[in-house]
Amino acid sequence: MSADDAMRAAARKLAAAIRDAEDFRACVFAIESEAAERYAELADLMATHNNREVAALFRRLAEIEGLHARKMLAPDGSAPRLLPAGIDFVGAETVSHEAMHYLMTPRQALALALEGECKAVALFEALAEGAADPAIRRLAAEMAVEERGHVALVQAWMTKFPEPEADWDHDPDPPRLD
Amino acid sequence: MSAAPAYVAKDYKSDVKPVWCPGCGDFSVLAAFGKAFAELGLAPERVAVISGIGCSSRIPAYTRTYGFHGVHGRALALATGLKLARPELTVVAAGGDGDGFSIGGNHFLHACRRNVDLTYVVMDNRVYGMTKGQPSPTTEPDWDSALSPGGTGLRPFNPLVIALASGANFVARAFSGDPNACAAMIVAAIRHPGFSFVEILSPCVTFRPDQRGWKEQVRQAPVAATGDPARAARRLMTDDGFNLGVLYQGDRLPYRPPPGEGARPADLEAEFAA
Ligand SMILES: Cc1ncc(C[n+]2csc(CCOP(=O)(O)OP(=O)(O)O)c2C)c(N)n1
Ligand code: SF4
Repeated sequence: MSADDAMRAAARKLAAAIRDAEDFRACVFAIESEAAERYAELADLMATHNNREVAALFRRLAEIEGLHARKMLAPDGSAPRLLPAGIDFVGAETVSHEAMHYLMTPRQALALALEGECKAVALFEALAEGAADPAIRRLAAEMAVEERGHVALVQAWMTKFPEPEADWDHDPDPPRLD
Repeated sequence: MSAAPAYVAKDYKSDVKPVWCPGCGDFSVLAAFGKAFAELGLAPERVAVISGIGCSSRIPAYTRTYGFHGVHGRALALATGLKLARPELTVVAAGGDGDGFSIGGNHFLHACRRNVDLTYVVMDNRVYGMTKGQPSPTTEPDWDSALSPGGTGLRPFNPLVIALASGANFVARAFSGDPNACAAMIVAAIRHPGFSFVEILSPCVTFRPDQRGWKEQVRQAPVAATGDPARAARRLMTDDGFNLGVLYQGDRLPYRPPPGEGARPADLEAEFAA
């Protein structure tokens, strides 16, 4: 299944489970919070491996995603209601651990973030087209616009960092023994 | 409106930062533990995660439940003792293929045979990660490396077949690349009475970079779980190691100690008094 197909399948599942705007907020809150937590984890991980530049970048991304999550809070600061039953999928924007490398460059870290943001755009676009309730379609379309803004932001950041050198993963003291 | 869940995955994460290599499959297993415990609504103080030694065996340190990072290969001995002494706890033993099937192999056989109500999660990366890449019992015979030039030439240990033959009541395989499916598998294993064994294929990206290719190799097993050990055995004997799902679900009654008062800690201590 391609990443886009996976997002469309996730969007269909979300569309079927979301009953109203409150449910929608709950889902967005979960998606953004999980993405923020993962970036914070990746920042810690890179700090452990002394890759400070990428650690700082992931820390910044964690802050940005945290802000998005907080946007879903009610005016009195309370968290939205819990995820609707049947929704276990919240990793829409979450970057996977598998793609990490201890010597990765900032540009590669941003490429990963870009993948996460593109997945989120695909999810909200599919919801904006496929949700039955017009109010949800409108909210999803707004989120898609916002996520497209993040895609542009990450792309702009990427231009500030050089492409990785061909031997970016060369470690003069590598962990492999052969 | 559905009732609020008592816990979320984050509630089970400790403040200790994992020192695993970036990309190690064990990160996803840790995430799956949190999701599974939250799904089951388990109070952190009602869960104990017990391990031996290895990269994967560090998992209790990263989990905010009771935990014991024990001696190499002895996770199941510790977990069995704990479950018998404190049956009200949910006891999950965890570790690697080296810990569980080499030095801990004998404990594995007898834990399956005893069928105490435990869950055993092995993060199988077919290598000793922590000690820098020696072959383990599940390593392919032709895996060529500096420490095993030309490969070991030895037939790999098949943990699922051994678990079934030794009496495990639940036998399953998952892949760390899909943490949600891993979490669902751990939930099913904990819910199933008796000894539940879950092999999670969890790549060691440092000493087995080839395992990054596992995500293209794994597939959902085409058949549903069976409760018939003969059928499960036939299935597992022809399995290539990449079929995911619950492969056997038996109905053997778990071992429970006879009712009655157990020994008090003071009695046990008295035996060791100099
Ligand atoms: C009694 C004893 N023997 C040997 C060792 C060395 N040792 C530490 S971890 C390990 C194997 C780890 O492999 P595995 O259990 O597969 O875990 P991984 O690191 O791959 O997660 C060995 C042999 C030890 N710590 N104690
Ligand atoms: S050596 Fe292998 S098993 Fe150990 S943390 Fe690194 S990737 Fe994971």
